Amino acid sequence: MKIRKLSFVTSFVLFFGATALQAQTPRLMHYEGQLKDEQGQPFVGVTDLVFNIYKTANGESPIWSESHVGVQIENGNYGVLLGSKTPLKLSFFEYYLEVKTSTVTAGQPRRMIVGSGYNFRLWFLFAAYTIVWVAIFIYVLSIGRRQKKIAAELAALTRDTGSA
Amino acid sequence: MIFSMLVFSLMVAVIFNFSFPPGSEFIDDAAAGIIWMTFIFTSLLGMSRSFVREVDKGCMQGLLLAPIDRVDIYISKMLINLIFIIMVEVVVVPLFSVFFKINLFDSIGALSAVLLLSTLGFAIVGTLFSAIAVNTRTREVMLPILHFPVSIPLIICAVQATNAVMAGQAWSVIWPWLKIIIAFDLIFFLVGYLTFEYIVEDS
Amino acid sequence: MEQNNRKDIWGSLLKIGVFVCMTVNIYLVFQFAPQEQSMGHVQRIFYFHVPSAWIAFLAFFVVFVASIGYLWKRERKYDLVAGAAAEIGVLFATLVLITGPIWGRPVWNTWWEWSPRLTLFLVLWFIYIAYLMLRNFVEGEEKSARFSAVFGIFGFVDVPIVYMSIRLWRDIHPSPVVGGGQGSGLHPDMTFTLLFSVLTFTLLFLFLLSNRMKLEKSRIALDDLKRQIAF
Repeated sequence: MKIRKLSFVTSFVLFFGATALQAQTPRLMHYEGQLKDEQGQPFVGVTDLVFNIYKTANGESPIWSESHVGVQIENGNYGVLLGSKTPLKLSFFEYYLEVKTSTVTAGQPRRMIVGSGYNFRLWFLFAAYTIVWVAIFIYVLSIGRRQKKIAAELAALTRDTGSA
Repeated sequence: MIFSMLVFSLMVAVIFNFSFPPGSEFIDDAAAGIIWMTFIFTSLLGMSRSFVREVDKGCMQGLLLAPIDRVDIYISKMLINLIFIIMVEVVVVPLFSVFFKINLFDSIGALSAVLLLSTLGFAIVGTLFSAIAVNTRTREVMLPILHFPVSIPLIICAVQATNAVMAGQAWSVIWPWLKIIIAFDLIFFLVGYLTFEYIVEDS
Repeated sequence: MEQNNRKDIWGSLLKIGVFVCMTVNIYLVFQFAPQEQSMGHVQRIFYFHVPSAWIAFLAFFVVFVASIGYLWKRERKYDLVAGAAAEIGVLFATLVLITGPIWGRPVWNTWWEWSPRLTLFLVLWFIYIAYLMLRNFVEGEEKSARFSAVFGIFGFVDVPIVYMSIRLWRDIHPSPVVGGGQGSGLHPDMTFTLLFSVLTFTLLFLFLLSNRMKLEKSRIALDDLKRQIAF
């Protein structure tokens, strides 16, 4: 009974922590890029941009995609807010971002991005948090278990002496 | 007892010497650490025996029945341990000076002050803990387990002070270390003085 | 019987208090406390690390006081308190030693830094592990209580001396600048979260201690009963 209650509490704590951490990952990401034309010159003008995010550097289907129509580009530089069109939710790993344009045909290489500069560190926070609470709950559980064992033994002994 | 301690400490010193490549210059920095490791192990060897005979042969009853203050037993045991270790040190330090080619005699006054006060601290804590350890199931193991963590500040200060003395540094560098050693000696002598009677109550 | 009931009420109140505080505390730590500028989210380990350290100190202080109490009054309950508190103290000191490096790795880029505080906890950990071993290795309840009380006093008296000597030692071997944020220049919300964490952990300590004491009491009851049967 007690053990079940405690494991419920443990899972509650872990779940709450995990969702709290999840909430910390960015929903929006400001991305600044450079676009060059076939001659390697900075692109000037208006174009459509498609952003794809992959899990690997040269792989399969994108896990997230968003297109920005009619982006004004001056001197090859542009800035967009990723996640403003399609909801963006990345966890702690690194990802690969691909940019495609409607006007320039030259492929732009995929670039590695991370969810946020700090997100890798969230693993450390999460590990520490988990260790602290799991250790404390294992301790509470072990006390409870020992208590139960002693109580059972005590009850058995009293019964025996009572009957004798 | 004193003879086996002496042989033991010489062997430790020689074995430590083999852990460095011949002619290594690193040995100058490590010499203080080696000296103190030697003394710590030697003093543990001596102190772990300091109550064994009393407990095993029942002399402790006699000592406790004797019309003396119980704390006097502690002080006399502690002094004997101190004298044993000091005797070992008197022989081993000059030999160290020869083996490791370090001149220890330029600042013999400061060196002996550091050695005496640190060894006193070891004897104060070690004698009391050996009285505890002798009553446990694992006598020889228990003494270092109790002794080492409590005497860590003493080990740090003794090694650093000896280092400073051997490097010929000024008194102002040595003094802060010595201050902590003296504080350790005084505080733990007081605590040992107050608590010893609880340890030997009925052994 | 009535007294027993009242104790139970206090026990369940404590349990509820711990639960509520923990829930609120998690919210404060992960959502309410502002993000630290240079260290990022990982700085939130602070809210578990520092209270754990505080509880470890509190527990060892309880061991010290209970040890003196035992030598003075010779009542068994003091020995039980000391043993239970030492066990809990070792648990939290272990947590300090684990969360410290987890914090240090992303911030200082090394798992272990001989910083005065971490080193102090390492030494403390050794002292109280030795204390727990001593409790188990001495035969006879009364003897074990006496010896461990003496060692408990020695261990706690040692703490300031250890800290002074480590401080002096680290002065000679300067370390890379150890992450700030401790004490100085904390955002008020951070301070509040920290204080709340300390409160939560203190309640948790009381909860653990009372549970541990209950366990010891039933163990003694069992032993007494066994002895009675043997006669």
